[in-house]
Amino acid sequence: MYTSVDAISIDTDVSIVAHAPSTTRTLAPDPLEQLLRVFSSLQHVPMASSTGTASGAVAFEASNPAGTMYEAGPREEEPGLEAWTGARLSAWLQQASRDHELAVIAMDPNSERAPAANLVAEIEELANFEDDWDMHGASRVHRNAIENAASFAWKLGAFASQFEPFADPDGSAGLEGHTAKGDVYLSFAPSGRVAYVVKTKSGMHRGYGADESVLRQLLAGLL
Amino acid sequence: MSFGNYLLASCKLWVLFLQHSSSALAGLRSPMSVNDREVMGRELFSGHLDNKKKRRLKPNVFMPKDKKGISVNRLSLAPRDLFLALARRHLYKRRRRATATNFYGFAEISAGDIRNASIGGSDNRCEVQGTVTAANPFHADIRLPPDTEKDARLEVARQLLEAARYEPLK
Repeated sequence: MYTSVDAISIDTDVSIVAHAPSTTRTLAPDPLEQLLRVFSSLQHVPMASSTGTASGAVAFEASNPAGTMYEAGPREEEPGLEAWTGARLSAWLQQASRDHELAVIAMDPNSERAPAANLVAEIEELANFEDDWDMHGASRVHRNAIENAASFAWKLGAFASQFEPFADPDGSAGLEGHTAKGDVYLSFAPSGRVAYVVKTKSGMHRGYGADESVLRQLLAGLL
Repeated sequence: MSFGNYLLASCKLWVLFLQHSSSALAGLRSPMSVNDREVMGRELFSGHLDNKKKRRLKPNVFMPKDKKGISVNRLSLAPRDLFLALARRHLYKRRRRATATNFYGFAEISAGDIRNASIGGSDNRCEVQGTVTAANPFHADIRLPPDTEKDARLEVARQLLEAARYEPLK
């Protein structure tokens, strides 16, 4: 059973791949019904809820942390389930995915956002660590820290494939990246502060509490 | 991991520590002082190794929760299986109260390499010192340079990681 869904990608009109923690499954042949089933089985849905009506009409809702609400699905006056082809669902999910904070995204598997979606799914797995996971008193990774790291991961785009997450014992969420030009280590605190270490051939930079523009500048030289 | 095996391992470690202490004191050294050539081992549990490439260490191996020290074992002073017995006991106790965690072996690093890790110059180096515990007389702590902010701890973790190597379980 899925406990959360981090990313949903549309492979074809009739195939939906849902990336859940430690799981990748292809849902077919009826993507909408399958997706609805997945959504209805979720125990932890940070971004979405689904409803089915007696008439068989379906609606999806997704909201981001800022409170913006996305809605999709046939209205009462609209045709029912059959109107929701894979293409239409895909179009809606793509629209919703334009918000980087949204945990549900739709994408072509060849999309340049696919690496970021995969990285975000891996970051979400940090939530599985419990207190004392390192046997030396580590704190579990804080939900805010995970969201801060995931938010940054979306901005990495195709470069996300060069990053990997790690649990920081103080409850922060870490990301390490290795490129031909150097290495980067980031730790996203629940408070929003970011500690960073960037090591390139020309030297080492580090800081704590950096804003995103500083991070982007540093990463620009690395990616 | 039975309690008996754990107790036996701990007793053997204490016997070896008494031998180590006598030879250290005979040489006018403290048994707690760690020679640069000594190999230190950090226990590795789930979360310390890369999920996809199981043999690669993650930066959190040498990241403490706070500014306190990083626990290690003085691996070169006693047979490896005794330290493994202690680690497995940790794991056993953990499994009784929480979700599955695995033990993967040790991240090994020499005391000299630990002392080479520094922040902002040679005056601000890491140190390693024996810190006896009831169960493990060959326990030691890596002490970080004083007053290190989070980014400095991240940098120390990176340096230690670069110098360490993963020794998987045989």
